Amino acid sequence: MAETIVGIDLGTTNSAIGVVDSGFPILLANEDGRRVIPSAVAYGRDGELRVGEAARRLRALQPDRVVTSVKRLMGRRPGEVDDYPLPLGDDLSVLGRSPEEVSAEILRELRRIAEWRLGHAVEKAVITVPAYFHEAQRAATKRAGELAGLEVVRILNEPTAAALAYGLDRLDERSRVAVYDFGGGTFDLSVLELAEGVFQVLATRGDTALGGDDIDRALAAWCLARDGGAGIDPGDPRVLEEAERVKRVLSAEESATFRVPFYDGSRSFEREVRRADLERLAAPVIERTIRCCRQAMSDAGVAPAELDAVVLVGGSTRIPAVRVAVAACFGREPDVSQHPDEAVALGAAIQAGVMSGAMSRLVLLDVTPLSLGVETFGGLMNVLIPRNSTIPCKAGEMFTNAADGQRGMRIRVLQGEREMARDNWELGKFEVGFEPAPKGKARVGVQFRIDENGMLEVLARDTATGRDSVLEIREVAVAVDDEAVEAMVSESVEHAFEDMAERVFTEAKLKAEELLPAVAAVLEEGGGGVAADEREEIEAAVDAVEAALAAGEANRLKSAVQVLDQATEGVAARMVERAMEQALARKLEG
Amino acid sequence: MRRLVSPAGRLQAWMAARGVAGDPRGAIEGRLMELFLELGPVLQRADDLRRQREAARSALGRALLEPRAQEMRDELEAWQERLDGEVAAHTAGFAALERGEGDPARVLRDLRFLEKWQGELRARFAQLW
Ligand SMILES: Nc1ncnc2c1ncn2[C@@H]1O[C@H](COP(=O)(O)OP(=O)(O)OP(=O)(O)O)[C@@H](O)[C@H]1O
Ligand SMILES: [Mg+2]
Repeated sequence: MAETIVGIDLGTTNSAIGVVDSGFPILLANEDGRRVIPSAVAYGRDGELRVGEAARRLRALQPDRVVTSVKRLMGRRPGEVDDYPLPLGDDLSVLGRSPEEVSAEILRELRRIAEWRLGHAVEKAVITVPAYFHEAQRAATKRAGELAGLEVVRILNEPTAAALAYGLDRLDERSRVAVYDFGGGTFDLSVLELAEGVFQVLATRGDTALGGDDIDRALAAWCLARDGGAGIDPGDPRVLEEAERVKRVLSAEESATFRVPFYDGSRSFEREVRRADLERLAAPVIERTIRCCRQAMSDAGVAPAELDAVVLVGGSTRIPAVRVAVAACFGREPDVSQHPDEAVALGAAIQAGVMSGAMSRLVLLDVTPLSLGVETFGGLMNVLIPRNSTIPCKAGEMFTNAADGQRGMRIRVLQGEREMARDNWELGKFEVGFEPAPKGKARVGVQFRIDENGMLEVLARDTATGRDSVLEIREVAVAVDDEAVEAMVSESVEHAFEDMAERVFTEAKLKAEELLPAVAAVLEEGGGGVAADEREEIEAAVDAVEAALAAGEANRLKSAVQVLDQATEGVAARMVERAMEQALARKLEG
Repeated sequence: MRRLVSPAGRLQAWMAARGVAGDPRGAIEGRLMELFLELGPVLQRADDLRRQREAARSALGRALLEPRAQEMRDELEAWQERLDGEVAAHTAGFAALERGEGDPARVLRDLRFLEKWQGELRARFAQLW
């Protein structure tokens, strides 16, 4: 018997595990008969570890001990993740665990279910990731698998997996399909060509921070923006869970009631939400998915009319407005033949089956979603492997010394689609060594290879000896310079949420972070002509800002910051005046 | 009409009228190169400061930057004076050029660059108000 390889969909919200059994892909259900489990891990106050449904249930009682949506943190850098429901460490750890460790708990649970169902040990797995995951996010996923005791034999793109599930019944056809995968935290669109068992991905586009979660946040903020909801934190996990419930109800009903019972021990909050309200809130999110669709189609050089089907997968495609938008974009009714929560895991199982030999007849040709390149003169990105190249693939580049006797050169490897190197994702740096030689005479050939997992390997070939050596790509130091972090933050502020309450909080927080140290400096310096009563007023305003920051309440923080801004206006005006006087004095002297 | 206001424009018109040939591209005076190498970083600092001022969200945040803004304005003013002096010196040489002494194309190149940098300075100065 061939050894078993399992297929795993490690989702933002839900996860599942499957395997090929007697030639058919199936998902493995847990003791409760569930084939899909919540991607939730609880580190309960009782010290007990719970994963899946039990963890999700604990969220109502111990919201601060339950980790959900950990996938959003995988392979990210500090400053890149906004409004995560739990506090994050400087290294993006949550409750003292790295994102990989938390994900590993989910994988361990899935592995346990599979071993229990199959009655034997499971050691190898195919794990899916969003097609738009970059190198670091893929590497983190692989590490999570290893932590769970699994050898990850393949990292597979989620929409490609869904296409495998879709294409399995159509092996004798030639067809072109688009897979629209809209889940809890990520969105992907892939265009594929299926021909006699060969699955060729033509193009893929997506957003790794766009999903049903965003709609939940927008809905929660909107519900609380009125009728006495101001005292409730829209980021509270319980509030988000209620928003998610209401959102689901509205996929089937015309209206629903959003409730936060006894939020302060005695008072409760209620608000009617109509489907039209939700659709208005979700519209910007849906529009962003549609933009990806248009780009992917243009990348693939395929017109909507040339498609045979647009396959929907992912829980968020149950939203009627999503289906309407997709239908409008592609000019056809979408194909809903696939189970939205299960197709990706089934596809992973199929790929696993192909690799273990339990299933044949399928060849998968996937693509790399982002262009790969190196930084060249003037901070530009020089693309070596364009996006949508079929993987595995490779490209070479020759590096020469720019000065006599130069011993080496540092090269930055980048992933992304922007002109300027600094706008792209930096994978890391490596050093190319040169033999001592006059300028332009030392040469080293470097080969970049993207393997079938979408992961990068860099080989340096010494042109003199012809020997290859694998270059180690050093992870970029966590301490990216402040300006870059700021840019990343403000970029994610711009793109990550369209939602007002969130924006209010972030804006107010940035202003508070500017004002607090400035006030401290001015008061410290004393002088500045700060009168005693003025000082008192400023100090009271500072206390209010600090309290609002700690409470994390948007509107409270906004008004507290405004009060502080006003309280310090007088000092500010005097400081400007003084600076002008000093400048004038300098001029008169000089 | 308008281009005659600038000394470089005047010189170029004069050269065209006299049929004096000369490459508009090429080297400029070494001393000016040095001057511009010094000036580049000043403009960069002015840009940094402007960015910081724009990013400031509160009156106090902007006020804290004010002493630096004042100094920067003074520095830019001083540079404007230096460049005005250079332009004046070059213009004063026009009479000699008319007598056929010196290389008009070279002077034209110098002036072109000087005027370009004057423009950059004016833009920075305006942004710091
Ligand atoms: N009936 C429904 N109406 C609207 N949204 C729904 C419905 N059912 C599920 N969802 C949403 O679907 C999302 C989960 O989908 P899915 O399980 O496909 O995501 P995932 O695979 O965990 O995430 P990802 O693929 O982004 O990593 C959640 O945001 C959930 O709220
Ligand atoms: Mg998914």
